[in-house]
Amino acid sequence: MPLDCSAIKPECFVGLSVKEIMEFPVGEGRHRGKLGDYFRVSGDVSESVASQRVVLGGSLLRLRRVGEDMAGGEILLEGDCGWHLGEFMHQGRIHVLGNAGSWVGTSMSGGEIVVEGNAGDYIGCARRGVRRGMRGGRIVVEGNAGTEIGYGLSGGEVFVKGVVHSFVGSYACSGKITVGGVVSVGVGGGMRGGVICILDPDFRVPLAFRETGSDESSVAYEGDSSVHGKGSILIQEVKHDV
Amino acid sequence: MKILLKDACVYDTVNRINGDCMDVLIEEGVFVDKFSNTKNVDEIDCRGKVLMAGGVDIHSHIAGGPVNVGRLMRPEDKSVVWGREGVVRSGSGFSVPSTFLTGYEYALLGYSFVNQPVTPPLTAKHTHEELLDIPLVDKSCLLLLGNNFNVASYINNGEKDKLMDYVSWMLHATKTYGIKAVNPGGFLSWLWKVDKIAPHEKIPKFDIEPADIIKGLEEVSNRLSLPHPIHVHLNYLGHPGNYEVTLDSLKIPKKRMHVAHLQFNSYGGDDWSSFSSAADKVSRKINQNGKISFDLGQVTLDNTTTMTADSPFEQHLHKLTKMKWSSRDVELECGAGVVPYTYSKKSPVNVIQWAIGLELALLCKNLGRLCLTTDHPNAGPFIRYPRIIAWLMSDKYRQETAKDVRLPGKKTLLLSIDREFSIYEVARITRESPARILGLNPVGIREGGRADAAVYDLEMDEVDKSEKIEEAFSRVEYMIIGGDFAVKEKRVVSSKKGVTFYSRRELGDESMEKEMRDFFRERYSVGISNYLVDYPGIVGVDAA
Ligand SMILES: [Zn+2]
Repeated sequence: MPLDCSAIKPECFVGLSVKEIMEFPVGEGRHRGKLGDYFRVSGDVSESVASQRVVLGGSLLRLRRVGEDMAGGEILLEGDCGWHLGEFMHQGRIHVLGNAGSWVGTSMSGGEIVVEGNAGDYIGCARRGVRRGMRGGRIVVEGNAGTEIGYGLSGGEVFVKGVVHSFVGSYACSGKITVGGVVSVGVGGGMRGGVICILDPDFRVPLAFRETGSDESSVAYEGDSSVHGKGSILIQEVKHDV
Repeated sequence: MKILLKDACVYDTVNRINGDCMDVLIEEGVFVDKFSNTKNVDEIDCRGKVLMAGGVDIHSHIAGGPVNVGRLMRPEDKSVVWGREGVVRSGSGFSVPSTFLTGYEYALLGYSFVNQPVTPPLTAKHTHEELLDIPLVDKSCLLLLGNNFNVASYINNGEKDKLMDYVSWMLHATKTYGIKAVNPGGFLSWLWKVDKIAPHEKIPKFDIEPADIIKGLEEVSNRLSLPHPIHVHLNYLGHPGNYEVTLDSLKIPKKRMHVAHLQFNSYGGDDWSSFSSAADKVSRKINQNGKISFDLGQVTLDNTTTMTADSPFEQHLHKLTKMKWSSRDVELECGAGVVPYTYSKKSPVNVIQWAIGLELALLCKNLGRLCLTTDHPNAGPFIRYPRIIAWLMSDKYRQETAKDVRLPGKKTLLLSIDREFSIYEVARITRESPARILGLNPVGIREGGRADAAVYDLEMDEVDKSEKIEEAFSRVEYMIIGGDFAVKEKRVVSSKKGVTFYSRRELGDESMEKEMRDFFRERYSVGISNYLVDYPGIVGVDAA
């Protein structure tokens, strides 16, 4: 059963005692528990949000919604974590040492999320049913990621060093997505603006995009022409300073 | 159970009690003057607090086909989530909340009765199942007949008795309370590619006009002496410059008609760029015309879900907004459509719509004809009623909001109206008027009346502070429904089931039943036995 941990974020803990933090609500299915029932809490609490750091250890795969709506500070997750990490986040930093689940940084508007392992589907994506996704901030995934990266992206930057699956940057209208490669179809479908940068010279761009220019290290395309979009796909060789 | 509400400031327009401080006594589900004995009395100190009867909502889409489609197609609407707590069940949704949440939210606003205005006959069973799931409040639902093929045929052929037999059979089959017509003739015309139809234009393939349908249904409603007059969503809803059609339509009824969400039908201008308010013209006619009652359909400037049986309008809206759209053809009976919509504070049209609703309320002379609604969820979710009350009660708050949303002053009259509703008048448009128009025969807070009482945490000297008004009306301190606590200290404490009322009428001879059996075999996709609704919890109301 997943744990609803939307209360775990730096600004909630500022200025409180460990005892008070243990009382924070955690949802397990339809039941409501306390943070202290699931975690051992220790350490010092900061006086300001910016300098507040939260470190989560142990098995974190059950955790959902960590850092939702986060407004500052830092969260460090020492291992693999569950879904909905840093949704609607607007400031601060989240660092995952292991793999992350799906829905990282959904609709976020600022701040930074770094995942050292792989990530699931829907990274920097729009929430289900909404057109506009991530509006600002930066997501970095060192490993690979799944499908629908940056769906409806309207700002900010998503960077996946490894390869991703299908439907990258669908309906994007602004912002930038950089991926190491794409293993399936549907890049930039319905794209109206923004940039998708693919670090794989062998990648074949969909027919709805037309070539607009090239230099020695990159080729640029514009589309999606089926929606008269002005988005661009850049095919680049791998450079290390991205 | 005995409850004593001590020293409450009672506002009960039915009994003309205007803020008198008194003790309200409740025993065995009704108000009493004296307890049978003084043992085990639950005494609550209501000193200085406002007490009203249970609220009545005359027009709110809380269950049925379109509502469920809205829930399905809008996962993004689930931002409001309630967890389970004791007897209170979980739920979610902002503009299309789930069934349990709907009941709890209404109880928290101090309401005890909600009328579901659109029931496509074929989905009556589903509507009733959902209604019975909604806790705490009592319900009723209206039968949609304005575009029904049979109704149009009977009127076309002048078969008045048959029409009456048909309607009473349908009320029996679908367990509904009264008659609703949505854009009468509009859907029938849309099937033949006619986008909109005025009351005095011919409906394709028939020899009748929408006005004939309204007249025919009104006559049936009167002959069956239904408790609620016909409930009409007029033609040309939501189109700029539709006020002339509205004025035309208001002349149609011979005795009584209730006009739903009048705000959507009080538009001036020729197109969206010259869009303006015509609320003053419509109000003037309504104030002169004793046959018409109406509800507001006040725009609350929120992100919401529009849903109506007016399919042509939903298509129009979809073309305007390019938002996702669901449209449904309900066999021979009607259609229905759903489109999400955001009433934006930055859109001059939406802001003028907001002003029109308030103008209609503020210009209304006879408050017995006026009901507060948002046409939930079409113009906004019902949980915004407290904000509308605050707008009506405070000129200052209206001016502030108008400034905030940059109301184009020349296109509306709102800023020149300084009327402010009193709490007594608010009690009237949220309690007495809708209850009387629905034919519920309210007795108010008086010995023998059903014990529905809402206690708001509003001190009398704070009524000029708009934020305080909104806050107080958003959450009742105590809500008592049928003599039991529904809300205690601003928390829901009960999930008791309410009942659903329908109008029980004599069926004509058996020929109608037989005719319908044949008709179903020939024309319907469902068997007649699957069509008939009968559940425990649906209560028949006989003609007076
Ligand atoms: Zn309606």
